[in-house]
Amino acid sequence: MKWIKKSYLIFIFLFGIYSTSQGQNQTALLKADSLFSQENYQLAAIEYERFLYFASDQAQMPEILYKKAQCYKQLSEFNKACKALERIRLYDVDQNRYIQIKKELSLCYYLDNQIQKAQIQISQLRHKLKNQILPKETLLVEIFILNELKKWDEAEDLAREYINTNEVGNKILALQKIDSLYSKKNLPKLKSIEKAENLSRFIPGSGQMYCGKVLEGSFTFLFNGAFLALGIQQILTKFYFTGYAAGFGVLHKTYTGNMARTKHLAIKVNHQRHTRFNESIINYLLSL
Amino acid sequence: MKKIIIASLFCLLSLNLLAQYSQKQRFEFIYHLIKSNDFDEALIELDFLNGKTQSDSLYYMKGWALYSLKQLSSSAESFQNVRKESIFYHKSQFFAAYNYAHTKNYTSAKQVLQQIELDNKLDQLRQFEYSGIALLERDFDGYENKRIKSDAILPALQTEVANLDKLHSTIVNRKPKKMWLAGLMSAIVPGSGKIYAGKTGEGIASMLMVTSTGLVTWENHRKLGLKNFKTILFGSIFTVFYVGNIYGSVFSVKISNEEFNHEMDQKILFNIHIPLRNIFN
Repeated sequence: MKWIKKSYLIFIFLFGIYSTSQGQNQTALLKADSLFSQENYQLAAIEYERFLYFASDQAQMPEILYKKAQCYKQLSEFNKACKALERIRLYDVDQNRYIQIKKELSLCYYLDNQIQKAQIQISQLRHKLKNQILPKETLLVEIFILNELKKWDEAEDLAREYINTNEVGNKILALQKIDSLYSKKNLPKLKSIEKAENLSRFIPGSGQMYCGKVLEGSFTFLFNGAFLALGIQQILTKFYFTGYAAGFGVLHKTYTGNMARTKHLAIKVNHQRHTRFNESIINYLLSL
Repeated sequence: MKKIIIASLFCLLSLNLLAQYSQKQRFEFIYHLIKSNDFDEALIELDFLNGKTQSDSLYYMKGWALYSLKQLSSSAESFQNVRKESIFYHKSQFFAAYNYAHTKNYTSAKQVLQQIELDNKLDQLRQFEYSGIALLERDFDGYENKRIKSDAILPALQTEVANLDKLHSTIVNRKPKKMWLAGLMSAIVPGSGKIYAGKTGEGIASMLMVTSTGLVTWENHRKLGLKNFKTILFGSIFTVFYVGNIYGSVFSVKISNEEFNHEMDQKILFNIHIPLRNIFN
């Protein structure tokens, strides 16, 4: 009887300690959820991490890490959000949770400008889902990625798939809009950097004009022409040093500067046009 | 009676359900955050404990988090608060001195080193850090006094002691370039001052530029006379290039000296940092 009482006492004591730590941890989780609902994401992320650190049971780990990632996503710290999501052991989770995690990972990688990693996440999700359709958000991310990579045809196909498989107000109108957005006429007319450089190599200023900067191109042409003329004129009048140094010497500088400027301009114009086009697609698809 | 005791024990434990984490648990968690490179989060947690405890762990961890975030002055201040009873005392004080040295606050760095209470083994490390700081200050006599001359050098210091000696020789053997000499050289032979300063490419380019404008001016002067517009124009351009090149040469020497000193400082700091990481980590 004495031993039984002792055993009871030990059990009660240990259970008390266990329940204390469990309760303490559950309090941290409640606090974290409360901070999250109050939009205090930084502190919420810390509380979620605290819960994970003190938790004896790892069953809630995927859910908590997912919530922690949400906190960092709200703080626009996408790299930290990715790190939190990467910690989730995917073999422990069911299919729905797997889809949810991969969806978030692809989005966070995309927002963190890690396009290749975002693509890998989508490929893995496609492999897991086999013949099923990707979640709406992931499909959108994939369209945006393909646009970034200038794969317009594939992006258009996916945009059509997105409209057909999701609830969209007027599907016919939306499909027509996609047709017009991805029409050859509307696609960003990207300038060939090589062509722009070659044009400026033979006719200074023509590369700038090709990139749409007519005034700048005309000025460059006149400027280079003036120094060439000065060089020739000075040599013809037997001012050899003046012709060589003041004419051709300065021409050499303006000519090489013009080539570098043309390349920079072509890159800048392409970036602007590409971004403008991508933004129009993003804005339209998000408005659906 | 026993039943009452058991029941009250259970109630007491149950009341703790909503209890806060203990300080020990909080420190364990902060240590985990630091280990996971979540320094900003660790600092938030440390700020929560600030004022609630005077624990050495608090100052050590805060110092470490700030050091990892490259906030070296604040880190040094925090490290200095660690008391000698703490197991982190030596590490904190040495890192405080290093942080001060890195921020060019050599006086504070030396003060911190002087105040550390330590055994013979770490005394050699202190001497080594002193010698590094002396070299950073370009106090060569101080370096000679402080440098480790003993044969029994700690294994963790051997390579770095040799490296500091090499750096000392490099600094001592380098004749600092003279600004006036570079200016004079460029006045006589345009561009030669920049070559003297170690900027050979810039020197040749300047030489070509000044020479060509000089030749153009000479040609116009010879054919059109001194008062002609073209001679005055090219003469003015030549003067601007010529004077500008002299000024540029003087400035190049200044930049060259600063670059050399910066490179040496970085190497010294690297060498006095390595033993700290090896010994204390």
